[in-house]
Amino acid sequence: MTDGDVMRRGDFSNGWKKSFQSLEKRAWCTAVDAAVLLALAAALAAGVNAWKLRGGGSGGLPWVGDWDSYVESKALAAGIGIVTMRELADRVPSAVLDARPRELYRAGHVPGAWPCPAGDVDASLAEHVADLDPAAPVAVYCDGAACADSLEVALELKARGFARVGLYPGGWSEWTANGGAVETGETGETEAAP
Amino acid sequence: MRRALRIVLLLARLALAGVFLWAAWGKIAAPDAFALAVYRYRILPSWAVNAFALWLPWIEVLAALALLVPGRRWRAAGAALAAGMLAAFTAAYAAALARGLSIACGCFTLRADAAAGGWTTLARNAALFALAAAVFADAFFARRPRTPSPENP
Repeated sequence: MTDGDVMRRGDFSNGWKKSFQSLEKRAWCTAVDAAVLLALAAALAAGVNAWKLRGGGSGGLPWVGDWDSYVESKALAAGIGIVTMRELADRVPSAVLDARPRELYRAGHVPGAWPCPAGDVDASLAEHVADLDPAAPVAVYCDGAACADSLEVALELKARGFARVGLYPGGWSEWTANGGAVETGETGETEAAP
Repeated sequence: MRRALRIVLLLARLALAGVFLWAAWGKIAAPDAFALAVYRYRILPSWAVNAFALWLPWIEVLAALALLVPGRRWRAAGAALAAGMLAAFTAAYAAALARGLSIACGCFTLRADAAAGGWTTLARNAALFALAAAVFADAFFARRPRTPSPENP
């Protein structure tokens, strides 16, 4: 009996040590399991993406993207902000400029936007937004992320002293693909910007 | 009391697994849209954006599946991954807010007209993190039921 008691008391300190060791062991075990899951996830991602890139499904993506030459990177480097579709729909910018050719503008544009085709910035500004405050937020868009016209117009606005120029990179394609309202005709006459 | 806790923890596991599977589905279906959302956080270097966008949703899937496993071992690993991801997402979104970026979370919806979430996004992430931490603590620290053995009758 006495022996048993001694053993038990010995077990108490040993047990604490043991439970700490087992906790440490369990922590290692969990870390290894988590690493296994991470590796499995990488393998699944690689497999599914390779399958998509081979044409098995849509939406395959190259593993390394050239984001530095993406229009948003260029805009941000030039001090031009990014305007989202939601901000455009909520009319956060005071003026919205459509940098596409005038025929496309007439066929349909973001409600309240003014035409401002690249290469014709001065005339367009004088014609439509001559009294625009240079401190007011202005947004520019063109077809989508692949077109350079909106960036060109945004840079020209910046050079003309507009302080808060924003680019809507999604452009007309994103706007229409997501059910944005469409206004047709000449210079925002059907619905004037408030 | 113990029983109520068990039920709460089980519901937490189911909720976390459901949330992660739902979140992963949209990202796997549209990796380009998710990569754009990742890019807009402006945290990762340009070369890492696509790889991260391709890898992350599958981590979410496996963490969700591990959370559903009845065994404690994989549940602990899944909960650890879930808690780690939620902590990282919350930190990334907080960093974006602190830098004045008004970006959409990119957590569940990748729609172009998604609104910037702001503080509600942070609060939601923090709540999910608390659930994941509780599930992890249960799986990792809780004592196993004693098995009778010659040394420990």
